[in-house]
Amino acid sequence: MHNLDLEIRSTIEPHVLGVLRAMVTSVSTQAGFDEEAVAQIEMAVDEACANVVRHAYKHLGYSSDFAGEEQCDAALPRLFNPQDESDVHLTLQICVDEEAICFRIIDSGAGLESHTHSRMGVESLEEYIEKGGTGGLGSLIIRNFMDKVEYDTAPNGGTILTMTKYRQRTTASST
Amino acid sequence: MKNYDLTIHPADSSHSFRRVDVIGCLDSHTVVGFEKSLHNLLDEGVTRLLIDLSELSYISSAGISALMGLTHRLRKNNGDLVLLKPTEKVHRVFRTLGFTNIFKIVEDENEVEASFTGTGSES
Repeated sequence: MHNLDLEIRSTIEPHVLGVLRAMVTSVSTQAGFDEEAVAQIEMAVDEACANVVRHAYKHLGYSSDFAGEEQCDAALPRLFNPQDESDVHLTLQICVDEEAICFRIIDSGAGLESHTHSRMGVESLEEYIEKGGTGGLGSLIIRNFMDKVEYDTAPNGGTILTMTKYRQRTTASST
Repeated sequence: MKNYDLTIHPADSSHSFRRVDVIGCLDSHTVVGFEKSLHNLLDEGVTRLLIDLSELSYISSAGISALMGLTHRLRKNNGDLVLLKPTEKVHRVFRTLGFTNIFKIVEDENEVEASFTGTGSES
């Protein structure tokens, strides 16, 4: 596969997650990653995007039919108020080269603050169980399944999460 | 494959457990309905629950947490949750993260009844 740069801008709605997963899976497969690596990439990107959706809902004060590690109040509205729609989106950038595939997930300011983002989650399965199996697993998955994970603050105040999966590499690091 | 579908089989006197089939994706979006349906079932008194994962194409951390919650609640009531034939993709996630040591996973339907031995009855 030739080098590739893609950018997708999406409204933040729960049902978008499945669409993003399908696209991430397709690009990772075509980039030459094996089935296991593709599944790990799919899950890591899904966890990151789900986190943006979850916190965007909470940030705007909407209840939703969306849950996860930190469950929102269960209710029905899936669509944001149209007047807010232009302000609430996530951007997914995908870069493929000879060494790696890289994903940048940029929220529009409704996500977590970067300084809290890096401390989120649990360090191990044991810690997850000790805490009652209620939260932090998504961040553990991201760190375990990707080789490099970096958080930064976007100019608009949102969060930029950069995740890299190297070809034929198994070690993980997180900053 | 469907995005998500859940089938709750009616109680069957030939089994001591209640069976549920989940199809498609169990992610942050679909898990809300899944959890609600299954906790309603537990509210009815079910303590032995079998979830068929043979057509589950994807599970996220939210789905795993939902299974953890069900396992915890059932075991607290002297019951248990058994997962039947997870797809290789889902099984690999369980294995990689260490959940094969937590969840009771059965590959053969004939072994399901025995896997509940020592736990409470279906209802």
